[in-house]
Amino acid sequence: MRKVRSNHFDLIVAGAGIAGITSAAAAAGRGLRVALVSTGPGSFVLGAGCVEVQNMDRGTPSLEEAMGFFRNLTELAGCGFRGGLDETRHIPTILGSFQTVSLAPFYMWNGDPEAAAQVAVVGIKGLSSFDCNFVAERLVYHAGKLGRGSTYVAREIELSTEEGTVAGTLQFGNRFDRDPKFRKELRDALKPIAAKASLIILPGILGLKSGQEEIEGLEKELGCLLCELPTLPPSIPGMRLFNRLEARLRRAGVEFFTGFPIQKLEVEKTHCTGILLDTPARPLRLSSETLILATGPFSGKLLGTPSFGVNSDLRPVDSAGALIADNMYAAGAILRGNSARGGNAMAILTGYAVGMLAAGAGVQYAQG
Amino acid sequence: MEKTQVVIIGGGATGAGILWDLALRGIPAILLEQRDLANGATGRCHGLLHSGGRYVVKDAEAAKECVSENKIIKYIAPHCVHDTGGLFVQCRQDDPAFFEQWFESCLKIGLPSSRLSRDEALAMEPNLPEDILGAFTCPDAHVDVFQLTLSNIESAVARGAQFKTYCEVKAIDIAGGSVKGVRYRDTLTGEEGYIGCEMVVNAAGGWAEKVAELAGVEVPLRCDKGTLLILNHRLSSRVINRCRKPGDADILVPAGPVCILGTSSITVPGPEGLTVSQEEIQHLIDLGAELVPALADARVLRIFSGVRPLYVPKSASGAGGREISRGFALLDHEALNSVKGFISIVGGKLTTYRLMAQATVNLVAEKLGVAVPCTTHEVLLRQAHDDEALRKAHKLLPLPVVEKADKRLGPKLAQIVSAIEARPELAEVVCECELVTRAELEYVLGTGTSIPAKTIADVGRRTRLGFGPCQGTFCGYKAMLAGFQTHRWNAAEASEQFERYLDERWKGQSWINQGKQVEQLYLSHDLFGVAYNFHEKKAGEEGA
Repeated sequence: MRKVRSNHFDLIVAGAGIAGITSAAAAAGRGLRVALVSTGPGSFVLGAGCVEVQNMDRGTPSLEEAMGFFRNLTELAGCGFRGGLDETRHIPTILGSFQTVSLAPFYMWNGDPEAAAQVAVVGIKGLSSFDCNFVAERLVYHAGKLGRGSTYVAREIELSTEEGTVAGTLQFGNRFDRDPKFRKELRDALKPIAAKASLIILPGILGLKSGQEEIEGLEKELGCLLCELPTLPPSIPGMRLFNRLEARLRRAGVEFFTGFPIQKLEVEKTHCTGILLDTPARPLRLSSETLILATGPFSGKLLGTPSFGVNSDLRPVDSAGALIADNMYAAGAILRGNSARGGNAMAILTGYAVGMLAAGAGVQYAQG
Repeated sequence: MEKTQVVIIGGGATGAGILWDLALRGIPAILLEQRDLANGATGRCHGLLHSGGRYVVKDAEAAKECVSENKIIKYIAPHCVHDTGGLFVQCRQDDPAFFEQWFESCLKIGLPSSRLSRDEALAMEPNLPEDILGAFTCPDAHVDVFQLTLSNIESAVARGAQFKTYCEVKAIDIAGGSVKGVRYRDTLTGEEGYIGCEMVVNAAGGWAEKVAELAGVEVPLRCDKGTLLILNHRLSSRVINRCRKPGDADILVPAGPVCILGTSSITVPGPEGLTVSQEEIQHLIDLGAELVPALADARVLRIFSGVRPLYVPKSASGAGGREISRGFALLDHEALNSVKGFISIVGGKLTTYRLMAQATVNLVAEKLGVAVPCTTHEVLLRQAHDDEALRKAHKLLPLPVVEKADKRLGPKLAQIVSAIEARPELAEVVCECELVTRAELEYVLGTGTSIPAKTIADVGRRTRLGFGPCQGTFCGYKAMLAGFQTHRWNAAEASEQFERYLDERWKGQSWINQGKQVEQLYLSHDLFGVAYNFHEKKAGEEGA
């Protein structure tokens, strides 16, 4: 008889954004049996996971430790982040402006105008949501404002599309993963451009599952650095990051329940006894010792109160300041409520902290 | 120096209607609009083609005008009208005596209506509350206000009329008691110009008072703000009215894939800088939910306000917004103020725009000694589409895309078809809510149209791009790129255009404080806010 695993876990993490992933990884690393429950790949479909720490208090306890943990996690997942708390880089966007970051995935890190003098911005014929001429022209302007001397030229390449499909980032990303002929076609198209450039900026298409090996391999063949820009959603680099991290967490024993929203949190006498997932036919009940909510800024409905807060131990409280459940933590953008945008640095810090707290590890955390 | 016979100030439905009427009568004219066509109250209303039921009890004259104009608009502009029909619903909490009074008044003025039982009404509109007492039918309809205004302009231009958007009137030149011309400034280029003319028609809606001042004339207006909510589903198939004395949030109009609830009625100092309070929104939703309960949980896409420019002669200045007649006033300033050649047309409502134009142009024609009678009630606003183009379109595009494009473009569909034949990539659907193709996008941005779009928001008014749930986050970016690719803007201009567009779109959503649309708005902020320093700017505003 097949062994049926129980639906009871040491820890349930709700939400698969950067905060949820980081906390699940931290807790699983400490030996906990973890379930990660989510409706989908969190905020990853929107961006690429760049981390800004410019607005954070550098004295925040555990900040360094959390960033180190996250860097190591991404390295093990094959989509390593570069940079650190003391670094500042300017990464281009699809509006041709620069975003200031401290950490970024390796396939974006080289986009800083400091890193290269001769830059080619590559567009793909038919890919309407990305215009290399527009991006290059704006980058010239913004690099000038930063006092950088990089030159930007726009180059358009043509890539074949499969019968019945259009030129879209998702289609290209998929083919990069599974079709060696497509990878060769892309490499051949980029080669003449790479010969005259030290950096190629291109829309994010280099695979939904690919890792360091494939992308850095391409860089090596071209003899030129690459920087991928996340396009309008879905962001291929963001989804890649999610897929790599998910695979890493599965290897570490985390069980995923993806695609189902939480129907209800079961809270009895300020203790969360379980959750009901809105699975087809009938709800699936999961229970755990501890629950981490990393469900983003719009979690009022789930908690049953629009005006919830989070106390200094990262536990959700009601408007009177009383604990909603004594075995519940919160991490990520949920901490900020509706008033501000989420920040990945905050997500990593709080995700790491609650993951460690759930595992009973001593971690210092004080909300800044 | 440019010269013409008549200058019209104001590019709303009324001004556009006047331009068309003048063109039909062979009177040369130029219309000046300070922003884009249909940007004022015309573009900020329900889009309701009134049957007259709304006014039938209190203002029989206004109701009669609606009855006949309703028929005329459906005849001359079928491409702008979705003839949904309407209901006046008898709610349990309302006065039954009013129901009978309403029905009798309709019979009296010839407004076609029939009585429905509760069950019949619920079978037609299942989203009505279970406990209604019954309903009456009426010929209300949804009218696409942008199309209607643009069609008037386009037809007029085809007959030699001219118009200038983003041109603000700086001065009205009067000498010897007569109008001599108008000085204007192009707000996009900063260039100034002068048009010599014999007459000036002030059709500036909420701005009519300000325009009249330029001629040294007083036109007392009451600016009455109406706030409307756009909900992301069609919660009814027909226009739903509450059968009672007109009040807040008692009309729900199905408009394409969405529906529009409104309005409030609040006196404001002027037509600019309108704001909406949370209380006002909640008040509208609460009242609306009495009429259609599902509304309470619906997703609000956008909230906007327009100003009803109500004409208040000094004798009526004590009345509230809804007590002042919704009829219109034609002011001959030669007779009133001894300014020869200056006319103001104020008040009124969208449904009677054509009648207002007719009355205005009758006076203009009389003064200019032109004897040609009005024909705007019988000349179709747009020629029928070209069957050959439609047949080809069906081969090139999916059916729903063809249907929408045909409705928006009519005979101009042929241009889209030949563009796609030449460059098949133009068949791409750029705005997935309103099914706008890249070909149509490039058409409205290009030189092939007589009413080109100058901003991304202009593109929206011409194609409805960005009117769906994404509110331009995705399709607005693509529209910006199209403007860059068609050389309408260089990269810096395109980027600036997009920033302005996002600011305006974000503003329309910023009043929404809960539900799915807030998540959509945050997505938009997160995608583009960094590039435009949105968060820093916002923090600055809050700190100030």
